[in-house]
Amino acid sequence: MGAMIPAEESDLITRCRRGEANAWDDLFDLHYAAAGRFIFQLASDFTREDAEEICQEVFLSVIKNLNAFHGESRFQTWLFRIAANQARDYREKRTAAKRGGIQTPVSLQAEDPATGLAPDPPAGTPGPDELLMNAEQMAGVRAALDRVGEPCREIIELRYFGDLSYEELSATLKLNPKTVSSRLSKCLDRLEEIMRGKAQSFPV
Amino acid sequence: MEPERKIEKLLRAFAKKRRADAGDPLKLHPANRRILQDEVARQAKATGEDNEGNLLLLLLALFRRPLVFVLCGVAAVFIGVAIFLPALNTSKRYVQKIAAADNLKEIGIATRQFAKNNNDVLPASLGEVTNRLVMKEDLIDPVTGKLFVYVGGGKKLDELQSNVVLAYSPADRKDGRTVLFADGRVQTVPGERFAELTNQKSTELALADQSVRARLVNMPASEPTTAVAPPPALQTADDFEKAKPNGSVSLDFVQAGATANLQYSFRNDAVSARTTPVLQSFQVQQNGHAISVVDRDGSVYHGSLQPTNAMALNEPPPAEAPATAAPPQSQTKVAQAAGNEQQTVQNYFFRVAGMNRTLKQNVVFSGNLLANNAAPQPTQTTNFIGGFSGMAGGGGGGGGGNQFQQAAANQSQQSLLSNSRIVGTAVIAITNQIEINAVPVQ
Repeated sequence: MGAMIPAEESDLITRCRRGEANAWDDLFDLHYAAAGRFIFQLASDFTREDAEEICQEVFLSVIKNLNAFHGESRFQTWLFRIAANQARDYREKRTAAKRGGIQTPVSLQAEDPATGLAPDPPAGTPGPDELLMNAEQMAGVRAALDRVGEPCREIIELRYFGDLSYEELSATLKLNPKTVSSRLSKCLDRLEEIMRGKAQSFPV
Repeated sequence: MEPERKIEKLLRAFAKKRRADAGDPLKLHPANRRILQDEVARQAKATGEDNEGNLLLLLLALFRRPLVFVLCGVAAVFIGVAIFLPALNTSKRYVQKIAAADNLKEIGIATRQFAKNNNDVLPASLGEVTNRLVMKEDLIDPVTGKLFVYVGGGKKLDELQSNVVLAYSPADRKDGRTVLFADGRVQTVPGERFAELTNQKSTELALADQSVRARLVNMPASEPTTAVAPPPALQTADDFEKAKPNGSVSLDFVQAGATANLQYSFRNDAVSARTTPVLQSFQVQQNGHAISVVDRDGSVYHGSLQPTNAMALNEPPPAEAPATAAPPQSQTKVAQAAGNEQQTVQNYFFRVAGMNRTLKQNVVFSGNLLANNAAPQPTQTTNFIGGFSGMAGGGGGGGGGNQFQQAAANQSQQSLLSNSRIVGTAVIAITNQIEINAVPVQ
């Protein structure tokens, strides 16, 4: 899975551009699982269903924008970048919904006419697992990543969740490899600062 | 290599934990795969359309500069045409109108000259004047390229009113038609006025046809003309003038013993008639002055026949002509004397009109029945003159020579038809004119 030599990948992309359904099936089979795993890492609160939903959106975006892929990096690198952006959008949307943006009001007095029971809406408070130490740390990392800012969030996610090398990051982000190194270092510094700010309540 | 930082370890641990939490690798659900493949198909279709558009854009980009020059050139030409073409067309129409008027004037002069040389009788068709005064090109309307429509065939010029139409252009322009009148004027006549003039002509013609038909109906086929009371003896020229028939139809012309219609078939050899189904071949039926032409498709055109040498016959009789009813011998002498005069003129003008069944249009066919040179001249001439002499001689034909005259008259008419050719013009629905040059079919 995933390990394709550039020539084969280029051929596959070319066939996909011609609209060959079989080529697209091959592409999905090659990259769907990797993309799903990458997406799942991006947030501690993502479920498999969330990952699948985001993955679906990612591949729809790939289908629409394949012509924008010019082969300057590996296809998977390009795919992960799209996935990172889609995951961020998904999280923002869900956060907005939690804040009441698109919440559907549920009457607590209303009873199900079939069962005669009142609805039991989920509580907004953390569950028992998240109350554990590891879970708190994970949530802290995720929260810090959300606050670190767009350029840093992207490069950190691609580097540590997507396992991209400096060269791949350089190609994907169209940056000099040295620039990638220095930017990553600065972003990690900033992330640490944010985590330290959180460390008052959550020791790192 | 730099040692891994604490934050990096935390991030990797986070990733490792999440990977472990993820469990089995995600698999693309068939329903989701179908959705993705549908999107692929949509994109492929859109891409195909885009490629066509892109090709056009590429071509436009490649040939943009030449295209701009070409478009500018086309626009310039278009503007030039838009400006100058109406003016050119106007000038062209004006020139054609003047040329048509000139041609009609030439035709007017030629026909008048012809009439002057032929006892004031206008030519049966324009073809008769082309060799003398007018070239064939002059008979063509410059606007349409068709022949002028000639409707004055066989008419007597001095009997026509000045506003009678002799010929006109087949082109019905906005400002009207160019028309040649009997007095030689050429004018552009508006459509309504032209319709009035031509309807008047048609009415006159129709009345003439009705008159002929009425006479044919009223006259039993077996009834010899001798039953008609002979006109009184003509003593003077005044008497002769009084006895002169008013119209082109004269019952006196009906030959004694013309008990049945004589008929003969003709074939039109004129090139211009080959494109129309009218009068390509036809049958002529004659009963005295009455004449009917039966076209190949069964269309029947009725009309009348009259000698073009009527003026000569209307002249006062010579001094030795008998004042009273002449005996047969004297009549024969008169006939012979008149026959000597008539040998030089043997044309008989006719005009028939009717509806053509095939075209569902009115046809007016006028022309001359020209005796063939090969025909037995003495018999033909004598017999026809015999007929006329009956009129000119004051009805002397009622004597004992009738039996001989009847037989001779029948023979003469048959001989006339079988040894004559018909030259004339057929006007179809006012505008279309064809030449007729028909010979008997043996």
